[in-house]
Parts: sequence; C-alpha cells; structure tokens
Amino acid sequence: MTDRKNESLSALCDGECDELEVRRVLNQFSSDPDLREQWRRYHLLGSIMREEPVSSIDLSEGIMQALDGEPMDEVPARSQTPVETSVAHTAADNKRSRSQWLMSGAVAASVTLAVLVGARFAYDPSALDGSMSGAALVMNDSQSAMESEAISAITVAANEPVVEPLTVANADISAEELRKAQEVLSQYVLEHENEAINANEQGLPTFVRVANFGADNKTAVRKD
Amino acid sequence: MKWALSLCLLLSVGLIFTPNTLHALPEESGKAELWLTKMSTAFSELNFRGLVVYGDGDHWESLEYRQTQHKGTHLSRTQYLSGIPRTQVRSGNELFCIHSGDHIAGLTPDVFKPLNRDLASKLTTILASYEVGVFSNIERIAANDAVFITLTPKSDDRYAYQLWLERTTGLPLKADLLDIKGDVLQRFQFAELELNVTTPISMFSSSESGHALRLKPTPDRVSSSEASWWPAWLPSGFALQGYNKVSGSEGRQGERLTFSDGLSSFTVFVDHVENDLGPDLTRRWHATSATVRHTRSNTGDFRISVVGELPSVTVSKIAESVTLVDQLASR
Repeated sequence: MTDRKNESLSALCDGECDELEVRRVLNQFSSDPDLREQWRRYHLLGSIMREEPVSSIDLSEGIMQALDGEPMDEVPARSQTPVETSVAHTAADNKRSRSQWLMSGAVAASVTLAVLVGARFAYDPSALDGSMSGAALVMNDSQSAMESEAISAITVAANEPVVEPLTVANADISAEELRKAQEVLSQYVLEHENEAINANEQGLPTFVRVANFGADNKTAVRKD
Repeated sequence: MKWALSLCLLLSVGLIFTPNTLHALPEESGKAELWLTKMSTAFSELNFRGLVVYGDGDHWESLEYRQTQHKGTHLSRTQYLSGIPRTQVRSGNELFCIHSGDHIAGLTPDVFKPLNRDLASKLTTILASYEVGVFSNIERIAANDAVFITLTPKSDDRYAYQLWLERTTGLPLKADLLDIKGDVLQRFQFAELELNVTTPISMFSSSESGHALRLKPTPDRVSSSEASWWPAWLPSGFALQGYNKVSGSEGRQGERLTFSDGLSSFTVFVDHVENDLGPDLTRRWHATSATVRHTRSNTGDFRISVVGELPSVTVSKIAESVTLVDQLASR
C-alpha cells in the first residue's frame, strides 16, 4: 500500500478527513483489498488495546451511510466469523492497573465515535459554519485533545522508554549533569535489551555501543 | 452473638467478591513442565501468522509476525506496524533489518522474549526459581481457547508472569509481566492468529535495503575466568550467560556480564571513567530497572551499572555488591 493511501487511512481514523476525502477513501475500499485490510487492522488492534471484545464490524459502510444522510442503525457485520477476545481478570490484577489500561481504552474508543459523529456532522449543514469542514473541525478542543492522545496510543512512534521513578544519590548536581547521566543510563538499558545481538564477530558492523559517560551520548548507530 | 453476625457478614462479602479465577486450583507440577515445553516447541515448530499488540498500558505498539520452517531452517518475519516503517527477517541465526536510516538499539524488539524456543533448555533453571500454576480455566483469546498459567517467583526479588497458552499447541496468545503488587508492567497479546499458515518463502528474504545483524550463539559454557569484577550478591537461581570485554574510550576496556534465571536477565556494566564520576542514579522503565554507582580502586575510577528486568531494589543491591574479583577472593 502506498504511503499516500496509508496517510489517508490514518487521517480517516484520526477524524481529520473532510467529506470529500472520506468518500474518496471509502470508495477505494471496494477495489483495494489492502486498504480494506489495513482499515480492519486499525480497528482490531485498537479494540485489543482497549481490552474490549473484538468484532469485525465494518464501520466504513456506516460512515458512508452517515455521509449519505441515512440512519446508521444497521451497520452490517462482515460475513466471516466474528473474532472475539476475552480479557482475563485474575487475582493478580489490581484496580490501579485496570484503571490505567481502561483509561487508554476509553480515550481510544472516542476516536471511533469521533469518526462516526464527525461524519454525521460533516453532512449536517447546520453543524457547519458555511464552509466545508472535516470531522475533526467540528469537535471541541477537549475531544481533539483526546483524539490526539488516542491516536498516539495506537500508533506509537517513539522507541524512547517511558521514565518512571528516579533516585539520584548526588543531590547537588546540575540539571545538565543529570540529563547527561540519564541519557547514558538509557543507553545502557538499550544495550541490555540488545544483548542477544553480537555485532563484533567477524568484522560485522557494531550496532550498539556504550556512550562515553557525560561526553558522548549519541544514539547508537550502525558503523558500516 | 455480635461476633457471629460479623463473621457471617464477612464471609458473605468474601464470597461475593472472590474473583472467579480463585476457584481454579493449580494442577500438578508435571503439567506445568509439559505446558512450558509445549510453548517452547510451538515457537520452534509451528507455522503461523498473527497480529500482536504489545506495550505497558501507557504506550502501545503493534506488529505482524509470521514464522515457518523451511528445509530445517527457522524463518520468521516481523513487520512493525507502528512507529517508523521497519521489518525484521530471521533465517536461522541470520537476522536482517529493513528500514531507513541507521539501526538504533531497541528499534526491532523481540516481544516474545523470553518465551521463545530456547525456553525448553532452561526449564530446570526456571522451575528452581518459579512456582508454576496451571489453571483449569479455559479463556478465549484471538478466537482461540487458552490455558491460563502463572509463573510466580519463589522470592520477591523478581517479577511474575501470567501466560495464556493456546490449548492445542501451547503457543502463548497473551503474556503479562507483573510486579509484586500485581501491576502489569508489560504485555503482549495476539489480536489475530492463523495457525498452520503457509507463508511464501519469498516473504522471508531480505531486500537489498536490509542490513544484517548477527545473533549471538548461545555458548554451552560461559567462562568468567577473565572477569575482573563480579557481583558478591546474586538473586538465587541466576547464573552467568555471557561475558564480554568491550573497547571504551581512550583504549580503555569495559566489561559486560549478563546473568539469567531462565526468564529474567540482567547485565552488569563496568566502565573505567576518568575525571567524570557523575551522579549515582537509579531509574525504572516499567519492567526494566537500571542503576549506576561509582567506585574507586587502585587502578582508577569505575562506573558500575546494572540493568535488567528486575525490581529497582534488586538491581541496586546487585550493583552495590559488584567488586573486584581479587578483593572478592580475599573476603
């Protein structure tokens, strides 16, 4: 699938398409199985992340119905057997972790809602201020913020680990010293994670190197 | 009389709020070994394709994984669906990464580690450190029935695992890494799984844009005789898995010692530093903890760092114990 199609699909999921773009992408579904598969993947993965039962409901038709001003009450399921996912709740699960996992789900769930609601609004002239507007434009600021957060949760780009509690023994160090020390520590973590890779044999390139503390803390790079 | 009423009330409340899973009793340990072996075999022998979600609750990534066996060679292909476009292809011990730009450490993680095909060879080590529970519950994940298994550490210095293994093959459909409070630190879960799928061999070939990595062969015996530094304290069950000397700045060498109990692992980094001691730090990235401390010996100043999938208290304790082998022998 081309990058342009990927971008369009991503924008559709983000609720960032205007009506014409929505129609264009959805029309391609019928002739482009890759695009349709990618759309299905987005929703399947999103459902797993939200720990909710997964069903392979085709939202695209519902969106098209909304654009055409038809009721969306009967969104048809795909002909194949629905995939269901059960979520195990064990004794080890506690309230805090549950709430964290569900929080990301609640936010992400708003995206699907935003696409559907946005599509309705996009068709409803009374909801627009005279110009052609996309779904994202008719959402308020808080919805947009939630949407952005949800999308970042689904399409995480960063490989940077999330930092949790930090203990510093030398309390009188400068912020710059602390920053450098943390970067070096991060580098050690990455090296540990890649311990299975031995790049030093037979002259193969070095993929991971340890930064010189406080002076050379760039990201590990391949040396061809 | 009041105390009897209170007791009845307490028992009633307890019955109401007891989770269903507590009704499942662990089965005999022989089954535990069987399931763990089955899981390892599944990674070695099965042909399958699946969509996998992995993360820690705050950050999520997704990937598509395929593996097949071809003429006795294990082939796998991991296409990462989030983040920068990148693919990793494995053919036996050859590993190729396909992406733009330089290879960054941690770019193509093995999300199934340590629940992979090498696990069967570590079974004795694992069972020495973990209690394995096989529960009679059958749950449904990615449209497959799953058996629920727990790996609970015998000591509090490491994390626990919860596994949901596909009922017929033992393939892990879902895995959680838990801290002592039961918080999920890491999770992977199949969103979709197709077993016995034949993937075209062409999908496992690396294109010209790919670059090679090399997997470190697992040595039969790891020699630590060259190590100058050693942790005086190790959590029970951990043994040396790898030892390396690396070139540091100004020709100075550093040492790397990797230990594992079959599931968790940690690495001790020893580096010679000069005029730049920096602060001592301890930090945790969800399941991974890291600590740095500095020490002075008659041969100079050294930075001792320990990184591993262990609680921060444990890695700190290990780091504090790292000392020169000569001094260790004289103790």
